[in-house]
Amino acid sequence: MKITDIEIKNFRAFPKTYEINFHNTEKNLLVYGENGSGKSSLYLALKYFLKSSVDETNEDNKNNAFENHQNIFTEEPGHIKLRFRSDSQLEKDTYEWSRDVKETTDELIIETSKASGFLDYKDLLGVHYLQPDGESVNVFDLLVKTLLANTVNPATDRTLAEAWDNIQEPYPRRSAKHQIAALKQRIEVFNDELVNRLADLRPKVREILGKFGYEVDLNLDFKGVTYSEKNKTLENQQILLNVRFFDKDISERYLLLNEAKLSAIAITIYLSSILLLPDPRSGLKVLALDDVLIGLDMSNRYPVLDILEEYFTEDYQIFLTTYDKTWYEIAKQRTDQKDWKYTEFYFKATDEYEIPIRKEDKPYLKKAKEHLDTNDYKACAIYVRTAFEAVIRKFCEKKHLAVQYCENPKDLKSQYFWNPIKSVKKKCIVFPENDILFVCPKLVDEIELARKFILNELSHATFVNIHKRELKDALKAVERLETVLNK
Amino acid sequence: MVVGLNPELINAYISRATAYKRKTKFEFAIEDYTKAIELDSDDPDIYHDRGVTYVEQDDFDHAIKDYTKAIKLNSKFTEAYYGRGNAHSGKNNYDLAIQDYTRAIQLDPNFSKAYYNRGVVYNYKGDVDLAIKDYIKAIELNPDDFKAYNNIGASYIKKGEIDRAIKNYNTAIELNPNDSIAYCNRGEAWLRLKEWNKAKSDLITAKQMGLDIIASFRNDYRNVEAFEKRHGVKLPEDIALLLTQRRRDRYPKLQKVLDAEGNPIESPNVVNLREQLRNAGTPLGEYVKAKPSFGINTAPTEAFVVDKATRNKLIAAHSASADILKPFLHGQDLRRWHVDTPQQWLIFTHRGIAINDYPAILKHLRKYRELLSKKKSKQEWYELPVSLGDVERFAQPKLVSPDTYNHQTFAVDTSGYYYGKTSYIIPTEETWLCGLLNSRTIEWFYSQVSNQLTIDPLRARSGYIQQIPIPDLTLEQKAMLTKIVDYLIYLQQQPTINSKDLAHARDRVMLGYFERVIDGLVYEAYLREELHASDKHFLQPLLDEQLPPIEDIQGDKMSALRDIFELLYDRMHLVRRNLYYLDSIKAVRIIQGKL
Repeated sequence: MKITDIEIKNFRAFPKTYEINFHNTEKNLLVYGENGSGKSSLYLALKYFLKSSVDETNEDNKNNAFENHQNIFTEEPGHIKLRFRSDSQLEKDTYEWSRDVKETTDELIIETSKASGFLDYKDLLGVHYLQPDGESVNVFDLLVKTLLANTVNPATDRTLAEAWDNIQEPYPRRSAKHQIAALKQRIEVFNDELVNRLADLRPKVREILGKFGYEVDLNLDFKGVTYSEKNKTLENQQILLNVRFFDKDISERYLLLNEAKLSAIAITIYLSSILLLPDPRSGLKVLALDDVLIGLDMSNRYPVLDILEEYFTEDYQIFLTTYDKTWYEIAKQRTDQKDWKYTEFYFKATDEYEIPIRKEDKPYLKKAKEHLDTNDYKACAIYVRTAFEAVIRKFCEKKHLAVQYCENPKDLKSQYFWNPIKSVKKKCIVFPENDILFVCPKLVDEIELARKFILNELSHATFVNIHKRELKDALKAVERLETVLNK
Repeated sequence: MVVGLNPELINAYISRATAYKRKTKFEFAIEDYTKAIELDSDDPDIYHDRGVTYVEQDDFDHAIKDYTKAIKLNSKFTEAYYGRGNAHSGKNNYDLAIQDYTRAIQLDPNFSKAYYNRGVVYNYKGDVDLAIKDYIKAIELNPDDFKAYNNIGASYIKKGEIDRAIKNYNTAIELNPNDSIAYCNRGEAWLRLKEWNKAKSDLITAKQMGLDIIASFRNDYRNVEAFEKRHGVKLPEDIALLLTQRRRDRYPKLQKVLDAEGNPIESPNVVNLREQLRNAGTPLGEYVKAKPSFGINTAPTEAFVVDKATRNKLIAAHSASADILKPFLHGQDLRRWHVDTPQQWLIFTHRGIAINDYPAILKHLRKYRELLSKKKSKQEWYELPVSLGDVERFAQPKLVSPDTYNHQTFAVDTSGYYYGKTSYIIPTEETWLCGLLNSRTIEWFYSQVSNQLTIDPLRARSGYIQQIPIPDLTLEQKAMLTKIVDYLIYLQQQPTINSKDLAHARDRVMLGYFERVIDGLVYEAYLREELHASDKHFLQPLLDEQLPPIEDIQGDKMSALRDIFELLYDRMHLVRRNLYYLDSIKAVRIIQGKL
């Protein structure tokens, strides 16, 4: 089962109608979008559509009624429509959510909602306020109020957020013994629930965190909140994230619990909590991550893609958005084009307001040129490199060239393709001694030069100075290479 | 990145922010103002506008910063002083607020709103006369200002000049006949003059206009009792009721929809489900052979109920005492599933007892002779209102429950314990019924039938309990329920379950989870078609596991139960999966209070 079509009309940043279709094999979506271009609106459209199905008595959900998300520049009622198709049948089912129509209480939508994960950069803002103390940091608020708030306790059917609300103010008068006893009982239940959740999570969190290549042993230490009758407060709101680093000396340790690592840990905890959910009958599960990688540096972003690949691509329909163009291009390269659809959202200023525009992909070199013309060197460089990689890969495949073996296809580096190409010759049947190189030595030199600055994989995270001249040369070289290799 | 001033872009942000503000999307508005400020950091107007937006969000600190910046950029920015005054007043910094309003008034002596707000702050401070002066000035500048009249009224109330207050409220209402606050205030003022009819009429008018008059009254007087005490009056009952918060029980959630007059009506979903359940089986009262009943009225309890030491003494003094000392519990001692061993004993002096056969008991009861003689009944002073036949009633296997609770609490008693009148007793050997009665489905049904007539806490009134429909279950269903109920009875006695040690949290979660498994089986019993239509089964996957009855588990029962729990708790297990997704079924959502 997958979502095949999304239609959004007059919702938040989207005036008029926008459609996204997943044809044939595609099911995942990678979105690049400038701030305010509508990428978060797309994320929220999905999220609110699915969440609108559950617990209608919940005040938070009432606030999420469709009319609260109506595009503010138009009075014409909007809607969100999702079409689904199961693997076994070709027929599609459409469900609508708008002010007047609410078809989201269907079993399919409810179960999908309960099986899915939605995380955005705002959820991770809490990481910013954490104050690590050496090797431990208190993540109580982050976990209870955000990352695990929607997880359901199998012993009570309640979300952690409900259990937490259940022990909030107003607290009983100091003389109200029965009420205090009842409160304490509720607190015990909350503590049990949270301890149990953390115990459930621990193995998965450790496992996934290993994918980041951290040599750490992570512990979530929760001793239970307690009620102070004297102060009428809840005390010990503390979950200590203890990290033991192996093979590091003390002086280095302080550098280790930085914001990037904490973001990685937070993402890991969230993803683990999603992976612990039972599978719905339809099999459809959505994972939507809106800009959540911005807190991570490049070295920590690659593992996230690997984690998505290993744990999510098979069972989940993934929606990934970013406003980081470089990252977008990299992620595009590293994801399987067969499963993924790529989309870019831009602003287009009109007289009245800004509307998001969506751009479908064009050939890489053509896009590189467009960016060169608009002096967006960074974007141009990415496209040149992407084109270069695509050209050499394709050639190696076509000619069945031996490429250095690599266990994980993602670890293949461009030189593995480029090196054999440099020496491969066109066969001359009549005079074998006259075989000529596909790529003439001059072009090889030009490409080598370009690789130093532009085509080098590592350079993209750290573009410092790109000069138009070098870019133009690289672009030309890759263009020629493409012509030569495609002959 | 260097960006030159781009007035078009700045204006675009500002106009979008304004649009957002109109739609009360303040966060977005603030974002846009911030972007505008990033493009031009020297425009005091933008800071001012963002300050106003912060105030809308009650974010006074940021608001004050913005206004201060605006004032820095334009020292004669009247509106910014006024705005900062509002922010200070929001933070209860009255003196700073007054300073700012005063500065605004100096810059613009016709600034009526500044007078008005300064008046409000004076009023907060208790400077009632200064407040009235400012309100009058505000009215002078803006004669239609009904709110100011209203506030003058409130100030006069503070001064104790009720008549003058009412005159001002009259004017406020004249100027704006839709001013619900003025009606409410005038109503409260009439209360002070004991003009009950006028008060009631005004309060009801305010309420009908949609005002939360209880909250308003609470702001002014805390509650009815406080008002009565302070002013030495007793409010008529109907008015007191009008101003009293109805008790809202956390549990159970009642599904009430309001009709045009604001009275709760039930949604058809709820009514239909209730009737569906009602028709799903035989009423409990007919199902069980012997009639359910309450426990024994043991008053005066201090005479008839004794502790362990007294019991031992009575037996030591005369061995026959043991025959009529019965292990005894009150309703409030009961928990779900298992009845803990009683720590008290009942002196079971039934009607017609040969009391002289029990000399130690007689001697004990004599100490309470005077108290016992006060009972107005036909029996002897030393007798309980029970007959010898009641022995049978308590000796047989039964389900017991406290009569007052807010959560289905039935336990299985096969030990022949005796109970006080705050207990409810259903004689039956069918343990599975305990699972049924403690399930969410029955809890919901019971709250539905018992709440139709009363807003009292749930009382296990016999009539309602006897209405509970008992479905016709297969032997397999009953056996499975019995098996799990037995697990729960066992678990409820374990030290790890009863401890508070977080190291044993998972054991307690296990208990809760087995209760959910019971819920699943009971949903399947009542809502078979609905569950099976969406492929949700409980009985079959449980049967597939061939769970052993508790008595067949050899060795460490607890660790065997833990294994069973982990098996059923696994995310891939059908029981876990079906429990997790159960609320995709509408009827279950209704029962869980989610619809």
